[in-house]
Amino acid sequence: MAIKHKGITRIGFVRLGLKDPGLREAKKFYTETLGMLPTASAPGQLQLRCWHEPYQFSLVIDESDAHRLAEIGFQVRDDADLEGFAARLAQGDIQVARHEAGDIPGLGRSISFAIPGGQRVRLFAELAQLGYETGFETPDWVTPKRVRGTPAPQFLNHVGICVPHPKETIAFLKEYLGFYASEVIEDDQGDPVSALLFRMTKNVGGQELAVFPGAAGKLHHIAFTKDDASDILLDGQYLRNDGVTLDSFGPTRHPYGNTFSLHFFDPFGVRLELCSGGRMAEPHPEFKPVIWSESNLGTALSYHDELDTAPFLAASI
Amino acid sequence: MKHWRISLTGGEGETVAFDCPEGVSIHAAARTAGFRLRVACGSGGCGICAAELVNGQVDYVSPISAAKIEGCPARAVFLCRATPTEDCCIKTDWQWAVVDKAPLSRRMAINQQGK
Amino acid sequence: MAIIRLSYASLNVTDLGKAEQHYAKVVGLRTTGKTEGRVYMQAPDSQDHHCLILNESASAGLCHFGLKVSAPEDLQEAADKAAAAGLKVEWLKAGDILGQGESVMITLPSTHRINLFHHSEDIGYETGMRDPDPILKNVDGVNPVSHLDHALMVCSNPAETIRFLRDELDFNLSECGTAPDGTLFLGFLSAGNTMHQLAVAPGPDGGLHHIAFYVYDRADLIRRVDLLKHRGVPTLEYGLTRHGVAGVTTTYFFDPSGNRNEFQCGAYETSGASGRVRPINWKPEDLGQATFYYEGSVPEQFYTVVS
Repeated sequence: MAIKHKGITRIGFVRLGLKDPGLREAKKFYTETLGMLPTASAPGQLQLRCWHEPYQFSLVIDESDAHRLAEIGFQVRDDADLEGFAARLAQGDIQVARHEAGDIPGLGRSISFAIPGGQRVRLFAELAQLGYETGFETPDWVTPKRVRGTPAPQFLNHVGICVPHPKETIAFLKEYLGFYASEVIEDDQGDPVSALLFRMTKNVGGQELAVFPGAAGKLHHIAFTKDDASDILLDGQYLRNDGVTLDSFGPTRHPYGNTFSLHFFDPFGVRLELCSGGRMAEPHPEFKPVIWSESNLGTALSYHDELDTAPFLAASI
Repeated sequence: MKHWRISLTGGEGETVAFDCPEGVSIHAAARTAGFRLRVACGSGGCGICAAELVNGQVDYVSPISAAKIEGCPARAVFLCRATPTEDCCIKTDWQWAVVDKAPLSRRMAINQQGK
Repeated sequence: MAIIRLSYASLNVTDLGKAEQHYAKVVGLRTTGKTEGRVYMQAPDSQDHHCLILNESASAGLCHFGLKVSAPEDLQEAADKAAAAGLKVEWLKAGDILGQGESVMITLPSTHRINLFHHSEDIGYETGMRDPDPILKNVDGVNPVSHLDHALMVCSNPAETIRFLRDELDFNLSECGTAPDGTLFLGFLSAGNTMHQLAVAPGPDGGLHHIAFYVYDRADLIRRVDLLKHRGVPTLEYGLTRHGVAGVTTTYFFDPSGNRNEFQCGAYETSGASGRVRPINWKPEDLGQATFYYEGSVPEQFYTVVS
């Protein structure tokens, strides 16, 4: 043993398949409307990152025959971690696929597997770095000019997934991947029907995965980090100005995680979120999650609105 | 309330004088008189306002950090929290700033002289 | 496993009553325990017993920092590493610090002490842990601070302490300052995915530059500076500003014993693994921009004033 951070150290990327010939519409939306930076493209694939990220990508979009969530990638500390996870998953009779480096251009060697709930998770130790957009020497840390006037989020924050049996999925993510729950919604039997799970110690909240009940393998939403709530109000203006559909709550305080959030949709029906703030969470065995009663879901999802929660609960793709 | 006379001699040899009511910090009285002293934390913790008490006596309205008193000469006085108990002469090796109390009137006067 | 967070700062104060009032009313912490000459306080968004210990003392300044580890065996590991590096190590029993389990106190080369512990008494978020209303009962017109975010310590040889934290305790160096001869004179280090939990700058050994509390929104920060001025709390001459380092919005002020405090807002995320991403570098000639982005210069007192 040594004093060393191990296991999953951060959420790395989300990979989507979109039915978008030439990925023209996707590229236009994610760069011009959302304000991500395109970094690499190959025939049939588009890679994007947020301006504050040093890595080659945090969003990968493949041309596909249908819209789908392909996989969610998490970075582990090193190759030893990767082998540790592979062995542990094999012991649990989870089928693990191994991928050579470059399987996604820029990604090092990796493993992938399906979690109960159907989504594919990819673990990797290495991801190519393009360096910070604002440079390594005396950086301004200011949103680059070419994406100003868009939300231009800083980081990929978390991914929401739909699963048929949340209790089982949550238990798997804790047991096999070392996730901690920061918030849990319980039914009247005390069983979890939704949870926010984290591994990272961020300034803004404890969630890299949000689990909701729904059809297997579906994406609920992809969330990006913003510094500040008032930015998100402006971002909502930029999005509406570009004709983007906002989700029912509009900008609101989201007590489930205690973020200030805005949910909206890309042209393919993918629900996206901009979030700021969030309760401080510690990846520690004695850390306790906030518990919500299912009967309070309305308040948990939006402190400001008094609206039906059903539209928000629908899976996106 | 008793008032004591504070005479302050700066790093460049210039001397100014102002009244300080007993119980009020020399820093606050200087501010009222239009002099901004070299004070940072204003709370007796950083020692940056240290000066030399040439003559006179002071008391303190609140504590000064012992760590900042250590290593200072015996006649050191910490102006952010010192209050006079008699007239005082104080010497600093730093310069205060003079706060112009009528900057607009002065500008007007300069402008009129220029005509 | 690893150090996960700067958990608390133990500060010396020259007036315990005024200090408690300051951290309760100006910062927004709750008092969670008192012993003879000591007050323990916690921020709203932390579950542990305290993020601040105030010690009645003749001097202001730092007593020690508390760092939380994720596995009990980390304590012995850290003790061994510190001993191997020739640093002083001292064990504290459970309960020696109120609400806290066994811990190991290491004296860094900078002479600051860090106290590593695994267990804290659980007091929960101030909002409660069940169906929490996000707004606290005693709001003062702004959202509460969230948590103790980071601290900046000063010492005569920053490189030595930066290296120990990075190489032995697995802190990540996210941003740093190097002199023309390559000497590391400034380091921002984190044991999590933030950009800093501990920062090290030049100055007298053992000096405390500031402790910082996290604020959710820039609008809150503006309101907080308004309230600091309104209440006559001593502040930095630049008032509300932004650091070039980290690009965070910030303001500085002092507690009634002269310990510097900061409110900070910014969401900078890092890799969570030491050395994975090359650190940002600042040269001495860029320190104006690095320190105060809007003003582009540093008041002389900003670096020299420490408690």
